[in-house]
Amino acid sequence: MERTLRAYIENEPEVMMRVTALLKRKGYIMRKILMEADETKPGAWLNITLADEGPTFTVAMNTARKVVDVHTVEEI
Amino acid sequence: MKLSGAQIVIECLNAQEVETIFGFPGGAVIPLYDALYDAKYPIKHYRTCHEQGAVHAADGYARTTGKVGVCIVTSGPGATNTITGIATAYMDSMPLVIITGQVGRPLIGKDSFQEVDITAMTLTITKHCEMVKSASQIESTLMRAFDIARSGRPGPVLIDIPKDIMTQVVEYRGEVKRQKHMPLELDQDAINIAIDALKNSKNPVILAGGGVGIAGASEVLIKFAVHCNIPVVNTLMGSGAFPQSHRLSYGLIGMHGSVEANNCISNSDIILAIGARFSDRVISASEKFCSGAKIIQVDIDINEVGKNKEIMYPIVGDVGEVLTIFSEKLGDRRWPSRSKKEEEKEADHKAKQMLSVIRQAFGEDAIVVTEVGQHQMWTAQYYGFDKTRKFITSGGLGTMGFGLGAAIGSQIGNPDQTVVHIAGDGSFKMNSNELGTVSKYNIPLKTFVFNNNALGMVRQWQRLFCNARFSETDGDDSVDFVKLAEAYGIDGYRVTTQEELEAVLKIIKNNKRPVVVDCILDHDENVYPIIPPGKGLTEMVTAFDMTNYEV
Repeated sequence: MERTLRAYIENEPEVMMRVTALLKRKGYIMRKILMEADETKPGAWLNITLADEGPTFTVAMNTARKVVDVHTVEEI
Repeated sequence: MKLSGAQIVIECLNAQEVETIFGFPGGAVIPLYDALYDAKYPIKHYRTCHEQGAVHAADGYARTTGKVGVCIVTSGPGATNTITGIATAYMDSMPLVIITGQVGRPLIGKDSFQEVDITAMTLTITKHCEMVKSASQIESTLMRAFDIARSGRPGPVLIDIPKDIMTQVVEYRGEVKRQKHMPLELDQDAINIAIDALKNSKNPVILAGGGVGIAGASEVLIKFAVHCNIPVVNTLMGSGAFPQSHRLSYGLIGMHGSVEANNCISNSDIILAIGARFSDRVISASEKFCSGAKIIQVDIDINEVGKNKEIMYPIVGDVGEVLTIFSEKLGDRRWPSRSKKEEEKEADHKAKQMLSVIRQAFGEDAIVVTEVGQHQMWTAQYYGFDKTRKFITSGGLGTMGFGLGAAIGSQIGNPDQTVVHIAGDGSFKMNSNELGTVSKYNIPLKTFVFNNNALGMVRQWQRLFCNARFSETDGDDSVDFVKLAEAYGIDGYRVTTQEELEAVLKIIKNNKRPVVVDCILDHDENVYPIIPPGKGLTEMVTAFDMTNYEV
């Protein structure tokens, strides 16, 4: 089973790099990573699909929330 | 008013009330050092011998003062030399702002001279890092960097500034103010459930971690523990969070924790962990750690709660605030005193005796900074810390070479206090070049090199767990530390006995000069107790066990 988190972030590649680097370090297996600029707002959307392995999905959500330029995180 | 980017950096440092900076100049930060030359503010810059020393100094300054430590280095190797220092601060949650110079924007991405992508390199060892993209962003970026570094769970922040941005002139308004941070909203239900569990326990224990000191919650903890008569054990980073001389203190737990402390926590039915993350050095084999106990974990960082050990009662919030609520809601609940068994007979050894003599000379108010290894554990075990911000050590990353730089920063941040630097010979050799900084600024550090002419901790493991096959840990490259000190214009002494050390301490105790004392130890003096790999807290090997074993 896979689960996907969706984060609204500053539209900078460093933000995506930081989130994915932190998830990698915690042992998550990322099946899909998609970052796209929002068409109406200045930020971007980052969708990361995780394999159901490694630490819990909640930890992944909290890890993403801790990053300074991540504004919202939800599961989709 | 119109200012250059470099001048705006100085304005921001002043707005953040920065008085002390550590650093090392280089090509990409020439404009910044030029602006510093003209700074009308009382900002004192200390130039270390190496960028790693500068970050450790900023770290030591932050650990002992509670302020944000600031460091300036150049691009390329200047920036990469900071990485170990940044990771050290990150692992121990220390607030730093590191300003790195970067090559000019037209040169970025072209493998230019002294160009590296330092923000990419430090993504996972900083709380935040970013490159400034225009001079008009410097103010907001730097002011935010300080807010991020000191807020919530503190940590290092790196700001990379291209050289051409430092010379770009823009309008500066000084409008960005320091942020006031809203405290985390506490989950009252979680607190009430945890309090009920604590009320119903028979043998509770408090586990004090480094978060207590960082949160400034030591006094609240002391009041709470004394009022409820609950024993306290501490992690390495929690040393001094609760006075170790107090009757309720059982001392250090974990791999080299005392027999009393490890037995105390293992015989408890509930553990109230305050600002502690249950690192592998604390719990050893996770599945064997206090398997019969329920755990309440209080931490400001939600990601630390339950990370290393399953937690029944998680509470996310400021530890001082939570402890205050615990005190109020527990009312007059007081637990009966637990009998404190006498520690098993333990072999006395020279390092312990020397630490005792040093403690007698400098007292509980001295700031004690260590490197990493056997001397670090002996200091944690035997020195006796009764206050926070007095024991400065690299707990999380375990950085050999941390101590001298950190001691420099500690002394500069606390000019009226005595700073004692306890080093091992292996660690000291790693960054002993910083004796140049000590000498240059006449920093009155008292350095004691516990010299066993070996990499003692690894050697001890090889002795215990590799059939005494000492692979590359015996020091056959003996350095004369007295002559080394003298080469830097620093007084050097060598002692081989407790009596000789006492005599030297009489000479150096009250002088305001730096000194290096080479304390000769036997390379077979080991740190006990020790928990072998894969074993639980109650499966300690003590010096007494080893004596019997060897017999």
